[in-house]
Amino acid sequence: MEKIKLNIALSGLNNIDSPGPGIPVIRGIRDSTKIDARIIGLAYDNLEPGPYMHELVDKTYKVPYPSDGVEPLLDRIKYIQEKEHVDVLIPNFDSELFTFMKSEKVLRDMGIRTFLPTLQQFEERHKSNLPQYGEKYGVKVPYSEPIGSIMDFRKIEEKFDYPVVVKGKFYDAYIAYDLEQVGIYFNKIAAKWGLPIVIQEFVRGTEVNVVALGDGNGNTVGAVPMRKTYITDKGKGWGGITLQDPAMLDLTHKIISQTHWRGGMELELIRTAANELYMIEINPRLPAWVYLAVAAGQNLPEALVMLAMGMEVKPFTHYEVGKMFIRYSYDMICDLKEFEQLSTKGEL
Amino acid sequence: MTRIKKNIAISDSGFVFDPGTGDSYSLNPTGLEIVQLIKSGKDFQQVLAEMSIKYEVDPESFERYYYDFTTTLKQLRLTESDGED
Amino acid sequence: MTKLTFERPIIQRINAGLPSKYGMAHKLEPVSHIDGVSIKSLLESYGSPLVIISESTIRKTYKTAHRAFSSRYPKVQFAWSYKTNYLNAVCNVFHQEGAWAEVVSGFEYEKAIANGVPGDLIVFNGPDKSREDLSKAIKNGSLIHIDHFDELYEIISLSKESVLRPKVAIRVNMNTGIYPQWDRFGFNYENGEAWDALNRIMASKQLDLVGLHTHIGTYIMTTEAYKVAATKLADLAVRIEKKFGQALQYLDLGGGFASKNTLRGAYYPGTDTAPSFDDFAEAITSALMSSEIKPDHLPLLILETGRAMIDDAGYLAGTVIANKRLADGRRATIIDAGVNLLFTAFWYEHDIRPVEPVSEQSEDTTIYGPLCMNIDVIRGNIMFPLLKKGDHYVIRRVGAYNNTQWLQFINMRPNVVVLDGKGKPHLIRKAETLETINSQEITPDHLAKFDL
Repeated sequence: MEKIKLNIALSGLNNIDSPGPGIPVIRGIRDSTKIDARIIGLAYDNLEPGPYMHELVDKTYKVPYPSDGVEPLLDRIKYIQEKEHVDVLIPNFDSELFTFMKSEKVLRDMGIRTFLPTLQQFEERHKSNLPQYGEKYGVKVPYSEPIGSIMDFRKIEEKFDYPVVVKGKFYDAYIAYDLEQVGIYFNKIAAKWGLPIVIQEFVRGTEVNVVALGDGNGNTVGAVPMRKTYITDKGKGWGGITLQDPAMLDLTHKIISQTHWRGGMELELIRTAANELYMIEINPRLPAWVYLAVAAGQNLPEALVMLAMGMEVKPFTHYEVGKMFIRYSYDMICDLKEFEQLSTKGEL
Repeated sequence: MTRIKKNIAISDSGFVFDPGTGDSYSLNPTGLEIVQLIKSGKDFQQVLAEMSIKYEVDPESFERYYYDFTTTLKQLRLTESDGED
Repeated sequence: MTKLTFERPIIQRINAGLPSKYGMAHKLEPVSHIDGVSIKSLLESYGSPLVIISESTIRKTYKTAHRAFSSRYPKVQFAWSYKTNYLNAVCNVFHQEGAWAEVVSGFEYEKAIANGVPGDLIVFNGPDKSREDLSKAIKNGSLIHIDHFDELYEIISLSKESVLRPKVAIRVNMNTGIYPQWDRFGFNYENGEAWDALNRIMASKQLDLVGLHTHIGTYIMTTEAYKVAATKLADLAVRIEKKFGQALQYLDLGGGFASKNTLRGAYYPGTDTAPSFDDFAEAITSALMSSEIKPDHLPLLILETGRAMIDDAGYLAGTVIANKRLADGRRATIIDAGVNLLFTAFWYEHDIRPVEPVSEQSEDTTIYGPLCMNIDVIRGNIMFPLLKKGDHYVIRRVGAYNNTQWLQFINMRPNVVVLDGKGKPHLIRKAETLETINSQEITPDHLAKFDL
């Protein structure tokens, strides 16, 4: 079968110690037997490794941060589109999703397809809305409350037992053992990601994760459960292994079918000593460890691109259990000329 | 007179690389022109003369911006420490 | 040969930390004209700084808001929130568009009356209404929104002195799922206080209970809260009708709609996150329509939104005083408008733009006002174009609260002009002078002279 030629733009090229999902998603697409892709990287920083990884990324453009607003971003995308004729765009940062979801129609009019959750799906799974979410869909979640200041927390402090988890709107989570630590992490996260900050009950147990893809009609196109075998001090997986776990898959199917989830997602779950599953977060995109799913037999990045193109995708039913990944870092040698080019011209 | 360190690499795109520290910088177009004039050995009066031909700027304002700019270059250690007036 | 515009030279370290705060710097596009009128020419004619209000923007915004609600609900009435901007010219644009007045003090009440608003089209809110204020409001048939029991008993006592029946509503506070919950105004819904107050009013037989009011907060970005508020007010209305057989004339959902300004600490700009009038209207009207209020008794829906109605119409333009460098090497730009004119700078990251054309270059800049006060910061850390002394700037979306909260402090408050529908400027508030200030002062004889 002849591969279809597609121009695919992606962000999340920060393949560093706490990696974005861009490079793993590209690896999935490169492995595809159906897609012959030209990869256009969207970078925010001159030192994101992706732009320099020429075997994976064909061309990179710097883009303004989503916090600058929809307009500057769309202006830049328009410029990129004139040169590249992007068919599919896959944003890989949580902080970008809102902006891209709001721009879905404009992008579509430019000829750029996306496959993203709806604004409603995106909003209701926010960390600050987790308790309501759990109630609505019958999923166990840890108790949590959003706060706007430390004063707010003092008012609700007695509802929690220490330790508590202090979480940012988009990223970052820290375990705080007393009020002072809550204050430290509050300030740290608020300075970076703004308010509110979410205080969450700490659920003791093993963290397990599912990467999944919903087709938007309630069907799960693919889902692979995994346990991180080792977690770095930044809370990222150093290694992981696919699991045979019907309970986790049932929960995933239930969430996707009830919410009609569209696009990639990562479920962060805690399995307690009593063997109960608590959902602590839904990340509304494919995670950085998605390549494990590809290796285990479910090329979810490829499927996501096909869905975005409106093509039919047969749901995956199998994956290899016991498939492992070990993350490693690698010192890539780069040319100063290329750094100059990306930093002064914004293109590489 | 301000002198740019000899080992500083300046490209036409305004990209500046300091091999002594590994830092890189970017200049805006007027900044680049001024640095190139300084590099070619021109002093303030000569830079002023050249820039006034090309740009709409009065000498007082230019002086202010010039010295603010070269102070920054000095702070960034891009100039020769012995090259001062 | 014409010479090129000179831009001040800069050198910037290429950020090499992950991730940088700015990503690819985007250019702040200059704003040179408002409604086709050159900002520079306005500054030349009226001085710098200058508050500029666009009449067409007010009218357009009003019409958009009105259409959003009236296309979804049969009876809609806006009341202009005086405290948001009570420059008479501004109020009168709203009154011309059909808005009633919503006031929160005896002073604002007098202002509305002086503007020619009929007394029975004034909504009187707030915790501070003196016996005299109330007596006047009763005489004029104004809509008195009761804030607390002391006020309720004052009105009952006044009603005994007159044959006129005061027209009253109560303000209700409630949990709508937002933080912070405003519970300092009005009577609480959840603990039954609001229901008690309503029963007390009905029992007095001297007052006409005409409506219910709530105002859930300020700069609300979620429409869901309004749905909850409308549902709870509707529930109270239904209970009153069931118990007393009386249908209320109106429900007043207050204001608090977010404007497109960006709150400090917010990650996304307000232009992306603020719900539209249609979003708010959908939430409120759908809740009312699906409530148990009988369709033939649907009450008038009153809205008092201020901020979202006027913010976009106001601009503050002025001149760069100086540039300097801070100890850490960052750039500071000093402009001629300070926080005494722009109170909202304390909670917004205001959209400040150059007036004249600028290049693609920008620098990490802190923008200070002219006051000799450390807190006088208009914007901290903004990637700002390289403005020079004498260049002009304009700050957008300053129409709400600034002209009512501004202070004469260190400097005088400047001229305010309104641009009419054809773009013609009209001076609507004169710049203060030393005489303005001194005219209010009295120096005792023994302090009149001194020798130095």
